[in-house]
Amino acid sequence: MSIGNQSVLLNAVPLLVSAGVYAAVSAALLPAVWRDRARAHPLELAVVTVFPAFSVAAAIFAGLVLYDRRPFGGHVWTSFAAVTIATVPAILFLIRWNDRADLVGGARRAREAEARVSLRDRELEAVAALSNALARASDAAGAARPLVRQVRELLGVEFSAVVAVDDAGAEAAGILGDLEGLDVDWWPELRLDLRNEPSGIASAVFDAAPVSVYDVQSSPLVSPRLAQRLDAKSGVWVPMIAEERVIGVLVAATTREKHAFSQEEIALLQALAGEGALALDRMHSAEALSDALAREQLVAEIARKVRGELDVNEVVRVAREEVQRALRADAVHVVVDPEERFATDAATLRIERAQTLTEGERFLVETVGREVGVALQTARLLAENQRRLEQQGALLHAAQVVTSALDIETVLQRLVEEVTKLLRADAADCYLLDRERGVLRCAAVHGLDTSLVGFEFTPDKGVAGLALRDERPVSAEDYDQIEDRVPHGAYEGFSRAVVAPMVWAGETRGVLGVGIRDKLRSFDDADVEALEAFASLASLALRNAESFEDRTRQARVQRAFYRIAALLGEPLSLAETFDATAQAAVEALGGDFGAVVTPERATTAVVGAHELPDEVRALGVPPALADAARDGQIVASPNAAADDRLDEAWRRGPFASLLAIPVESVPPGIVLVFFRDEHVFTDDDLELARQLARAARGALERSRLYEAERTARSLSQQLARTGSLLATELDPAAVLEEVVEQATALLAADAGALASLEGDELVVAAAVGAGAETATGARSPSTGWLGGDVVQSRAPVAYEDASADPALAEWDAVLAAGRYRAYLGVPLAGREGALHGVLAVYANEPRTWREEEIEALSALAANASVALSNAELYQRVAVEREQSVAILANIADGIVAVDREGDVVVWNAAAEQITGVPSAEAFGRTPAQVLQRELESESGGTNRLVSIMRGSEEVWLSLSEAVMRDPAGAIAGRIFAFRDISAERAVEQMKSDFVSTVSHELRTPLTSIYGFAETLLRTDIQFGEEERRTFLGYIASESERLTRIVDALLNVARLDTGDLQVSLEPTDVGAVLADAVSTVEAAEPNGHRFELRVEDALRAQADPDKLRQVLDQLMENAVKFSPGGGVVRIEARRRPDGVEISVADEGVGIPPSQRERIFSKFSRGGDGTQATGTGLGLFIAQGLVSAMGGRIRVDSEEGRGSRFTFELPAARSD
Amino acid sequence: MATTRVLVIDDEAPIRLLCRVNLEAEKMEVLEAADGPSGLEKARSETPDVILLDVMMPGLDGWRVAEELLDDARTRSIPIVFLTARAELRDRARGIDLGGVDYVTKPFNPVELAPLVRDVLARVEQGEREELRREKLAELRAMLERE
Repeated sequence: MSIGNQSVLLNAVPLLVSAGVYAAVSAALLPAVWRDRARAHPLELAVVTVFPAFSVAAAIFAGLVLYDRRPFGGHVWTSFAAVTIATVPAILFLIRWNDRADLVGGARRAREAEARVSLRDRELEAVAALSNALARASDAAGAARPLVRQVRELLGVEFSAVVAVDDAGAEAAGILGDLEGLDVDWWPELRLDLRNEPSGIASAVFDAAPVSVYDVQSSPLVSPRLAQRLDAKSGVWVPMIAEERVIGVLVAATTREKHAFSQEEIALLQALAGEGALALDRMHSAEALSDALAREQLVAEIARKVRGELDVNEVVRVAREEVQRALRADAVHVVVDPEERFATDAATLRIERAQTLTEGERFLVETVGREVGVALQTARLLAENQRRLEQQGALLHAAQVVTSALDIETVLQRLVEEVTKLLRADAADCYLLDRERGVLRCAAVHGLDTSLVGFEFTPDKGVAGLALRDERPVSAEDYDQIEDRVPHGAYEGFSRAVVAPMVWAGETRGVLGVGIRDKLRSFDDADVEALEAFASLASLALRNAESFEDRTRQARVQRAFYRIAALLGEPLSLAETFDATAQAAVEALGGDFGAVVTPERATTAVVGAHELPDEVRALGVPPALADAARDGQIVASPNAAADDRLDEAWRRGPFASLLAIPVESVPPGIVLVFFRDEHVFTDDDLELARQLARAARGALERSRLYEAERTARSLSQQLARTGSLLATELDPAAVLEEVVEQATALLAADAGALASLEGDELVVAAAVGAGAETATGARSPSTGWLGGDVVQSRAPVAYEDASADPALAEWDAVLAAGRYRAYLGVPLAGREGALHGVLAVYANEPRTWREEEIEALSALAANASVALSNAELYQRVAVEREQSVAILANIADGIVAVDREGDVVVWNAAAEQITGVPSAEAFGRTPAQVLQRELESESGGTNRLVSIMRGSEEVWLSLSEAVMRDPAGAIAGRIFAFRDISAERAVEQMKSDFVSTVSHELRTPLTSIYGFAETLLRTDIQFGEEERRTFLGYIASESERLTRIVDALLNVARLDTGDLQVSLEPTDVGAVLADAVSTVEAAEPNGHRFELRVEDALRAQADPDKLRQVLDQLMENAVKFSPGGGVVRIEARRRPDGVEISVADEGVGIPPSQRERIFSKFSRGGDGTQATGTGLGLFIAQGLVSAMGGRIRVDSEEGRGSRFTFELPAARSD
Repeated sequence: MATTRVLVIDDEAPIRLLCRVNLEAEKMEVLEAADGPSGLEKARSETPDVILLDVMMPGLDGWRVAEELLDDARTRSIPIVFLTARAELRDRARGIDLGGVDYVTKPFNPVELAPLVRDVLARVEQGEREELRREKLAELRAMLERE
């Protein structure tokens, strides 16, 4: 086959077939592509156009092959294979013919699926976000806010809102509306009546399913006012369901374009609404709980306030105000049911308010109503209680009054006062029924004129009459209308009155009434009851008063007998017994005053009295009474003024009746009982009087015995007291005075005197009482009467009435001067049995001197004589003592006496001076305490040497001691006598020191001289030449030393005898000083420095040897007393009248106490440690200076050094 | 037999020398002290067999030195012989009373010192110290009575 054929067959034909297959595929796809051209993706179109393009390209290539008759591309088989392969896709497409549409819609569907997945994700996210937001929300608006925002964002709508639906499903309330991201301000105010107003919300609620409206404006389902207000276009309402109840509606709406809400969108809204519903339901529950709590609190608060009030009106006011405030009500009324005053549900609250009350508020109102009921009940009960308490209190008070006071008038007065106060009445009165006279007599009033007391009226008038007739309390409502009123002006103007009869034990005693003037007030039952109670009390009081009177009388009689019985048991004096008897009689017989008289004694008739007026006391006892008393007859005089048994004065006495009761005592007495008012004496009275007389007699007799015993005891006690008083008196004159005073007091006499026996005369030495002064010093013969009798008989002499014999007064100056009548004198013994004198007492009135009185005075006299002896003795001792004291004070020796205990009792002036201790300081202490040193010694003895300290100074005493012994031989004290021998002792000491010092000073060089001489004489030792020299040198120097000492002693001896010779010549002081200093410097080993300062050409009139001796001594001292070394300054200067030379050291100095003594013989300086030397150096130096016509002195400061300065006369010009 | 050691306490140099020469001549060893304090020190450090003690010395006097020596356990047993210029019997008695065993009154013959020291030591070694003192006191008392 040709190439051409081959080309056609193997290239053109397959190309054509391929073109045809592709054309067929293109034709098959075309309708689908066309249909979906709008939604088809450009890539899809590109894919689809591949098929026709390939078909056309294949047809063209087939035409070319057919035309050229040449293989396609020059290669038959290669092209055949290429075409065959290119045809495979189309063939494959044709094989899957049924799925041809997928080739075009596949990409779109994939895209759509992707879009769907994305939406679901966003929904899920939105719901999750919403859940989170809702969980955080705290109120309905807060829960609604994320919900509506999500709705708007997810659905792309302009408006979204939430409404709440009430529990009944009757009303919807806007919660939150969101228009393009802004809150719709009126939405929360929105209220929709679901039942009567068509709306999308209502439909959603009732259908419990979403409602979608495409054209809102024309839909009848939608509320026109909402649609218009929002200008909504399309809308959807989704119910929010919780616990199978629609609690709200979620609203979404477009306001720009209409929009058909898809199922997916609605489903999404439902999901969101579901979440929102849960949140809203939670909010709802929380709010409900919170409301309930707040309400409970409010109720509790109101209840607290209401209960806090105890006054009815306050309770109502508080309840009203609180409820009004809580409910914001216009008005609140509290209605109380008067029938149910004490029931807790008596109160009802009525509220006036535009809004109806919520359930909670209704609950509140009911609760408060109940609280008010309870509070009202409490308040009323309290008020009632208070009133009852007051009544009971008043009654109790009244009862106390009745029982505490027994005077009937006082009781009734208090009762009317109390009843007036209790019943808040204007006035009260009390009338007592006098049955005998058939009248009511006013006994007490309050609030009425007091002159009403005593007013009487017959018991058939007024309210009182009614009360008495009915025997029960009567309350008169129209008092001023009563016809038969009490005829007294005081009762005018009263409007109401209550009168209660006073009944006790079935007997009517009177009436008690109260009245008020105010017509608006009235008495209630309680008042009447209270008055009745008061009336009972009043009658009880009456009864009490009567029985009290009876008992009082009995008690009085009993008391009188008790008194007398008590007297029998009590050790009372006679006077007290008389008084008590008078009182007992007065009390027993109910008299006004009384007395006990003893008719025997005319002058002292009244011996006991009770309340007795002085005028009666002065009256003498009428003879008739005295006679009757002697006969033991009781005299009763009911009418004294007309009783002829009484004398004139008695008949005119301040009493109407009297009773005279004789008491058979010794002496017999009469008890008189006086009555100011007339008194009728009953047989009882007389019997009582007799009883009294017997009782009184016993008491009086007993008392008399007691009195005698008491007098005796009193006398002895007084005597004892007197004895001790006298024993302490040491002045004889004072003793006399005291004795007289005591004697007078002891016997209760009017005067007393003590007359001393002087030779044969009695001289009044002391006296007391009237006339004492005149009588003192008076003399009377010891041989006369009275005192003379006593002297002669040496026994007491007593005169009951000395005035009986006028001659007696001549013998006694006191008796005469004081006109005394009774006399008692006793002897007063003196020393050693001699009679000292007479002690006498006198009385103004005649007096029987009782035996015990005479004995007492004698005893006193005995005491007195002892006291007198004592006093005289003391006087003598005192004088002696004075003498001793004078001697002691003026003696030069110190005298100290100590008592048995060793305490100082004498410390004379010399002792003060010697010891430096004042006597006041020494007395009462032991000498050891005073002087810090014991004075006494076991051996006693004389001239013992004792040292004591006087301040810081040691004083040496020469002490003698004497022991005093009492008669029994025991040591009763000691006497020390001492002299100050310090000065003598110091001299002795100095002498003794001098002897030892001189001994030492002499013996020391002697020891050396003697010792070395003996040593050299030893033959058993061979000494070397040098040793021998040393020994001999010592012998020589110690010999010199010995010589010096001897010279010094000689000097002293010469100074003492005044034999010291000096040869004065003009002397070059500088040269002598220089020589002396150089010598001492050479010998000085202790490192002292010597400074010599001498004015030029100083010449003194002196003995050069003696000058040198003085200088040597002073420098030696300077070195000796400055052991620490230092500078010794030697200076010499001119003075107007001579030359002054001084030697000063820096040593220990001289204490002030030693400065005076240093120039005296044997005085050694220093504290003992430097104490070598004879103590003669300065003595000699001073002597030498004086001998040269000069003077020496010292200046020193302790511890700083000393400066010795001496002056010499200037050299006479030669 | 060991050498007898004698401590001489005296402020006077010639007297110390006197004692030394005469005691050394008798084969005794002599220690010297010029005042009380150094004498005490020497007595304590050297413990001599016997002490010759001057009474009148400046500063610490012989009485005080003796008291301190007898107070000190180290020196209590050393017999003390007082060298005294104090002629009065009561002064001598005071030395024995204080505890000294003997006394030598100045001026004294130095040749007799060594025998005295030997005698004292012999008595003390025989335990007759107190007896010696009693003898001396009796002696003094007799002298006092004679006065």
